[in-house]
Amino acid sequence: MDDLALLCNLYGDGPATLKRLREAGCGTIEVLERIAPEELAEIVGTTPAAARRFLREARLLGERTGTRLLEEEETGAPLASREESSDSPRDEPRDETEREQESERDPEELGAPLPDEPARSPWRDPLLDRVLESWRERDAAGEELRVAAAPAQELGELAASGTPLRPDLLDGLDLDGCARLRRFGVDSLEDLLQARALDLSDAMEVGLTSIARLQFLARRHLEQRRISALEERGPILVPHRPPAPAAEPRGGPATLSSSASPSGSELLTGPHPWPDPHPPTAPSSTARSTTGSEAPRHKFSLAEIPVLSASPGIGEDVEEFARRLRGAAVTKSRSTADLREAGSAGPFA
Amino acid sequence: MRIFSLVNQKGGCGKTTVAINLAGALAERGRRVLVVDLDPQAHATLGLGGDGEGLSLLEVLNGTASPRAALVAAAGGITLLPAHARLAEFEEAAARMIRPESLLCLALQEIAPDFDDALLDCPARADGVLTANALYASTVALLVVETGAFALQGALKALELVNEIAASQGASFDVRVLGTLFDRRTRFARELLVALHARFGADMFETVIRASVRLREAAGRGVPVQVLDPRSRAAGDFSALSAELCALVPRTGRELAPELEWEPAAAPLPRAPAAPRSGRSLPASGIRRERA
Repeated sequence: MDDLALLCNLYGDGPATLKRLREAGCGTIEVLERIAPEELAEIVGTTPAAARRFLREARLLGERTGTRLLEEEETGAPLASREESSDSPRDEPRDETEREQESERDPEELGAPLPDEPARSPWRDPLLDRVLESWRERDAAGEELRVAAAPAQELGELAASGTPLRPDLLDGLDLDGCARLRRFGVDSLEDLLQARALDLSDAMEVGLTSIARLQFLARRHLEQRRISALEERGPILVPHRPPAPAAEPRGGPATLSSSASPSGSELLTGPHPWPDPHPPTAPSSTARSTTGSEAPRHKFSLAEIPVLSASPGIGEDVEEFARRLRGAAVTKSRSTADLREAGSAGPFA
Repeated sequence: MRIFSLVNQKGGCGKTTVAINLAGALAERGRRVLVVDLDPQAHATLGLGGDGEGLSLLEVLNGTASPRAALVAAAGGITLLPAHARLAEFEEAAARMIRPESLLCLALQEIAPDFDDALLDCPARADGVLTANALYASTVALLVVETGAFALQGALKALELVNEIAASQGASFDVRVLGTLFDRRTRFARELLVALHARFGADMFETVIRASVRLREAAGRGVPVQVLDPRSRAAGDFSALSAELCALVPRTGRELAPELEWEPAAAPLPRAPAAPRSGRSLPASGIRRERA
């Protein structure tokens, strides 16, 4: 089955459309794209609007086929792992064009750390972070945007509204696509997700599936960024977590009066009884890549949150648990000076 | 005679529907078509108006009836070699035979001059001896893939099984993929079709059989869809598929599996005059057949 047959099956009347196109001398998608919508409407026997949609889908399909399989996109597997798996059948038909596209892709999107990425501090203004990140992304892409010519204030507002759209941020989203989306008020990935696919499709005269696909890719992109942010924050929460016995009830052994913190975190059991308001910065991705790539990344789990560990264990008296919680609350209300006077005898000592 | 076997280890993917209606489309083109029902559920037999009475494929494979005697004329100019529920017993009996996978090939050789095309409707169990018989005899194996959940995984698994059978038989099969039950209104089906196209490419038929109520109605009435509604969309799909099939050049370059070169070491035992209906007391040399 060639691409034209696939297109006719997907968006046409199957073999009937294919037969008419071939009888008219159109054997490939490339030839089809050169036909005017009105002429195509006559050939296929449909309306010019339907012919325009058909041509649009033909262009999109031409970009899609041969590059990546869509059933893997449906699984939502991270791009990095998909690119790393070289033994999957999807990777068989790799050609030069595909490799070029891959090399031109944003390195952060591929999961590789940016070489000059500064260390991120958690107390930095998130708005500033987002603006800086948008600049870094645009620099990495190396492409000129119309937004780049906008004043800094406008760019700041744009970045504050979410992840700004830029070419190649999503697969199949080019400069023209970004401009068209902005024309309809979609400036960021968040806007794209909030938009109603049907309305946007009607307004832009783009196929509903194309909009839905863009929304899916946008959702996945944001989800990946959220996961990577959580992974970066993980070592700050629990840098050295001792391996917990699997059969232990969740709240059982973790008592607030013990010398070890419920989560086993060093930050909670350090010289200061409370977490430092300026904790050490998270190791940057550059440092991670150079110091020890063999060290396994710590995965964040809900069980490691201290408040969840402070629940009554199996067999523990509920009143005793309530008393313990009250004690913790009273201790928490003391000032830091009092606690320093008490030396290391903090609530966790 | 060109022989096309319709295989997939997954049930409900449309093998029987394709067999019936593709036969109807081929017959409409003036081809002499034979449908061989290899499924013990006998759905192709029922779908072509058969009643499951009389001689069936089981007797042919057991050697107690000649293939020509078991043929039945069905609607739409199709000839049917029917199946019976007792065909499942052949799996057990085949365990006591030597090269049981070659029996159908031998039987079809007898009637090959009478037909242009034969469609073998395989059972859902792809690793059984009935499917092995079909693959051994086929010119081209059509891997019928439903464009639904697990389509790609199912197709790859079926392909793996077919390759295993090919390796065990020391042969190579020409396998083509046919998408069925396609509903282009759903995004899921469209994405799956793109994925199948990306995986199989040129091995996939250009025609994809779309889901249609007419096909169910036709099966219920025991006729191919060309008889029920020749102007329907489903009839158009099968007409296009039959055109593709007529123009298909098998990669193996053979029209029928080569005749067996082996001869049994011992003379055949005399057959029982009337085969028991249960088929349990088959002679050990039940594989020996009369050559046409």
